[in-house]
Amino acid sequence: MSRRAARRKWTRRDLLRVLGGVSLAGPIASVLGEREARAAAGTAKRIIFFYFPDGVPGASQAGDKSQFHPTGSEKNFILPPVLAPLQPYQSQCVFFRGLTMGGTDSGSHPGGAKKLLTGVDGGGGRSVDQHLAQTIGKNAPFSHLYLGVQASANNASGDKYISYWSAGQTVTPIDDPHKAFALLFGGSANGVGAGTGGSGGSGDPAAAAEVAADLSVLDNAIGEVEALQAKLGAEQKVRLEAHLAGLREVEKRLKNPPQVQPQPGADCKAPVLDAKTWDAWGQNQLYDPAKFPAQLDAQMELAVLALACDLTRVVTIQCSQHTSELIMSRFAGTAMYDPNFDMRSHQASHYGAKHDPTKKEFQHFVWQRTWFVEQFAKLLAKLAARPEGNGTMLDNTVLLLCTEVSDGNTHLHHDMPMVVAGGAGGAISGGRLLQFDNHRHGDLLAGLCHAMGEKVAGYGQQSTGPLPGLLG
Amino acid sequence: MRLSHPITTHARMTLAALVLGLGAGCTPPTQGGGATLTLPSQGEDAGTDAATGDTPPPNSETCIGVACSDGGTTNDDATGDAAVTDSAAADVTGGGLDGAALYASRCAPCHGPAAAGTSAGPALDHWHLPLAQLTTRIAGSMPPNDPTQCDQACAEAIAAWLEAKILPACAPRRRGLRLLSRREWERTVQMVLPGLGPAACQTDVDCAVQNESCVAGACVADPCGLSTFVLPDPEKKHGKVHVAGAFNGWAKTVAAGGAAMSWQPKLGAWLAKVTLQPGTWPYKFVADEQNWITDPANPDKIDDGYGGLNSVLTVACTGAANTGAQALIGKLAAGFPAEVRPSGYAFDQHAEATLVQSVHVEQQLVAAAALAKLSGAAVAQNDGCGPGTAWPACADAMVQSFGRRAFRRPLLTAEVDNYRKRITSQPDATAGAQRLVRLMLCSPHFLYRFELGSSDGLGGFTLDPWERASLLAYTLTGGPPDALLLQAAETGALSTAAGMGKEAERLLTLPHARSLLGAFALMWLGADAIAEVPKSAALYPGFDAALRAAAEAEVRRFYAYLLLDGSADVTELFTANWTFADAALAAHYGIAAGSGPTLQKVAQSPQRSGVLGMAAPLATTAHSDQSSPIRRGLFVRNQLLCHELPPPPPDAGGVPEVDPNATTKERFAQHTADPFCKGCHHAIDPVGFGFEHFDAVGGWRTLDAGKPVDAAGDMVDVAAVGAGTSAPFASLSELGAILAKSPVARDCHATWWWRFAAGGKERSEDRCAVQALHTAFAQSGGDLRKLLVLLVQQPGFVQRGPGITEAAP
Repeated sequence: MSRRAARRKWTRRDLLRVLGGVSLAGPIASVLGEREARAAAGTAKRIIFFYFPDGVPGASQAGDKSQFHPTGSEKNFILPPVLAPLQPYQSQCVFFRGLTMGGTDSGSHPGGAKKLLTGVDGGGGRSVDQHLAQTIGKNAPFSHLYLGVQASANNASGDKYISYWSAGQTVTPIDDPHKAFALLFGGSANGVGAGTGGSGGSGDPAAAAEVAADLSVLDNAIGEVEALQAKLGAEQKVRLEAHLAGLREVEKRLKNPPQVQPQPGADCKAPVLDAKTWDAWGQNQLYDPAKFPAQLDAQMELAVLALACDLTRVVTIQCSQHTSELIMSRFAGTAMYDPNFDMRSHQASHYGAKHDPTKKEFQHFVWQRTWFVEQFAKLLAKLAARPEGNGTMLDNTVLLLCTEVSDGNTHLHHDMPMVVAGGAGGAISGGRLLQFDNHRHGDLLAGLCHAMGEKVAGYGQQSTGPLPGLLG
Repeated sequence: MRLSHPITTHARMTLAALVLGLGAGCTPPTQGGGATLTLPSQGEDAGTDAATGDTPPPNSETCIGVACSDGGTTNDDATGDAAVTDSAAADVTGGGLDGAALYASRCAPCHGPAAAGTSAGPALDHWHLPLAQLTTRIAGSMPPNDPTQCDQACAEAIAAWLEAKILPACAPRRRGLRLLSRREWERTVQMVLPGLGPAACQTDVDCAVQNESCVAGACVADPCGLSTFVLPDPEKKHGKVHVAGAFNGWAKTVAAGGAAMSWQPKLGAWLAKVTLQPGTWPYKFVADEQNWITDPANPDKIDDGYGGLNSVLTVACTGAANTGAQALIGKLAAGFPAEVRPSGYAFDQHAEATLVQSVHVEQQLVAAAALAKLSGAAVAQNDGCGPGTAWPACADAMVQSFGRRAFRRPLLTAEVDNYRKRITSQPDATAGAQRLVRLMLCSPHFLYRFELGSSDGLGGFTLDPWERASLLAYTLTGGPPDALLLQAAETGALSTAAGMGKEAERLLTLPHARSLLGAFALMWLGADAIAEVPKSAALYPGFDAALRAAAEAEVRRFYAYLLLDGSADVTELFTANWTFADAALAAHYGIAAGSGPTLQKVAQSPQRSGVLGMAAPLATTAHSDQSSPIRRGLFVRNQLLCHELPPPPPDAGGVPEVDPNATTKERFAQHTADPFCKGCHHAIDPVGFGFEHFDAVGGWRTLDAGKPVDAAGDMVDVAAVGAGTSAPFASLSELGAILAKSPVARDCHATWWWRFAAGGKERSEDRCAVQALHTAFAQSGGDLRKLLVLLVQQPGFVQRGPGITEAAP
């Protein structure tokens, strides 16, 4: 192996320089060895799961019609107000009626969060994002990127997280965008106090020595974990395999460092990010609700950048957590902003038995849910703004918008509010409303796998294959 | 599917069950006692039924469950179904009654023939509380539509049958590897790396007094703005001294707001620490409230306008103030992902919940490299490669010496060989030590607490002396074993319960025990989010970072003091009329206390009582802008009585809208008016209403929404058996007295300690061990300090069963 340079250490200053265009206006390139620029035609190259908490104004107890679910026929339907932000992308979205997560724990937030991406009651299986990470995402430098926005607030219990490494075992998202940035672009693991950003690139002997040391450390740890596996047999299997996977992934990145460097003409254009933005991420106020919008924007930006540079194929973005105490009335510059009144996500979700626009909870709930959809639309816009091949990144990406319950007040698990977006590399055609009669959502998860080229027989309970009509 | 239907049949039925779960005051909608019962076949997909609501569950009218007071389920510990071969279990009797027959006729219709539960009644086959509580519950409230059907003898017979034929046999905890939590990792690094650990201390004077304070038994760097004032007075000529300056309006007296200085015989000086905002602050010392003295140690002075000089202090918080080793270690620890806490488990160190992911590995590498750089030379010096030794000849010694601390056990020969080989290519001892630190801090033997044990020949395992030492140390001090404890492991002193007890007694005298006790209390009370929990700045402008920090410190100091310096009486948790407060917290409580940011033991306001009246739990159990009787009621049920209620049903309402014309109590009145809500909320809200004098940040209020607060509470079902017993109280001290008398509250505190040591909630198999600890604790008279010693002496503390064997995905 030619002794390639240590991974370039990016510093905040570098990012600002590059992204802010002070000296390098050029885009950041994806030059991951010989990796292809595009996936084979007909499959999505990458996938994003976008979660927000506490449901939507769905069908109410009193029988009001859902304000989230479109009405009409497959090709001719109307988006209700909450989905209005998706109008510009309607032709690249698939909407659903009648998807169910089954009756177990119906009415429960944690019960819904457990089923959402696993397709299994009680979170009794690996979630689909982790499955894709361990299959089609496995060769990327980061097999999976799990970004949270205040997802671990208030010492969240494990059932607040939607990503399951294995049955019953959730993992924790990265809530701090600074941390995510350091992980993705901060150079080798050893970024603390380092990162002059000076020579970078090739031939920095000190950096090479650091990498060699880390590799020896990893090699040692891998050997010891494997020895424990041999000793313990089936006991501790999940724990030790997760640990090993983590060690091997970092080892892979160190041995084959993803070279992220400015290169004109490549397919990822720089986001605009200045010092003020950086500070707005709230380094020491990670759980300040006022920082939430900026943090979410940062996580989306980093996710898109990581995908554009092919650092990863699978991203999960988790906004807050179920039964969320997030005070959304602190989001400055939005309709719901009110410095003198606290309206929390979960509080608003219990707007009452009927859709009553004169009631403060309902009013805020509609604003809040529309805001989350708007953020999802922003994510689509970020992808659409990046040219790729003959189209944009959005054409080669598939996204799932989801939440753990249907109507926020009834908490039911049927007619789940889900939207699939993106061209999926041609695997999915948008502009459609697919209607079912209580069809288990595992088939949708399976369909997303197929869109990514991972031909699973089904995903989770009562799933027999890709959701009929989704693909093609 | 009937989306338009307000509540599905299933939901309604479940609610009916919830309503009636508590028995008293509820009239079940019976339709004739002799209804034929149809049980669902086991394994049927209940999901479809419930989702569609098309198939009502069996006997939905007469079959009433115990859902509200189910003590059986825990989220983090799934247990297998108990196999019941047949019901030829009639030989198991209690008091001469046939438990099997009684169960079959009175209980099986709802709970299922093998007690695996049905949609009408929860499973009883993994009951995890002491059997006595099951008996009490059956006798007191079962069957819910007519508790008189089953008296004490009947209940005992049924419980005995369940114990003998249904419940799994009592068994030790599973063996396994326990990943260090961030808190434990931080303490471990501090203790394993020489020269980096914080000095232990009793008071600020034990630390570098100018820029460190003694917090929870360890010296920590002062945050920016915390300014130290020292007036030397070796002969102690002054009777008292305070600091007066522009920051306190040049207070002439302490009563007027002057910052009192405390006499420090060790320094021969007067000392005060005062938090100042960034800016330039003129000040003077005032002796005996009459002599104004310029700070002799401060060269910065300006004219005071009276012909004298004021001293000047400039506070500038640039954000880069503290770059010391402790700050770095803290920052590195915070860089790991948050631990996964299973629902209902209060602590950060669950034994099985957190997996190591690549994000952890990245941070392990970062941290190890940074710490190696910092401590390499000291490790070489301390661990066998000091002056007079030759590199790499000393490498073996270094590996063995450092490895013994890092892995909390002696290294095996093969391990010594491995590590030697990996470091001897380094040019010198310091570089070798740096590499060793990097290697070992990323090793599973460092990152996990090992509780594997060795086979006892009977299918079980017994922890070896080193594992015992670690378990003892992490349970009682939150960190790795110290040198003496490792020595005790080596000499075999930990092989007996007496030896374990002796070491526990010693560990409890260490400063780190104080720190661990504080962390335990904070997590037990669910108050560890106090620093970040959002509060309305408009309503509570004074609830700032400093006050939050003081509220957190209060919990830590109170609990550690009670155990180590005070009576150690468990009832004082609920009844103490003293606490710890600094000036800001004292003002928050409306009590007199010394000034300054140092917490002092003070007499608590009669409005408050033990942990019940502390700002941290009161604030974390409230919303951002209003109190929450629900959360506070649940806090008492879960944290203080270990009484778990099921989650709210599907159509539960949220927090009532803030109506300026209604009090919180009025707004929540719906819960106890609506029969669907009442079943559970009858046991929650009346308890929480008793806290209504406390606002969302734990401040006292007499008005809520302009109306007088009605804080009449009722400690319903204090025995936590699902009965509707009433125990009215008019103040927190009355509630405290009720809890102090409750054996369930006493037992519950022991249960939390058992959970903390075990790293998980109790399974059915653990009920005997938990029961044994309850009994021992009761015999100690509820002595908390003895509880900790008893805890580590329980046979189950060092016994383990086979570990998890589930297949990896």
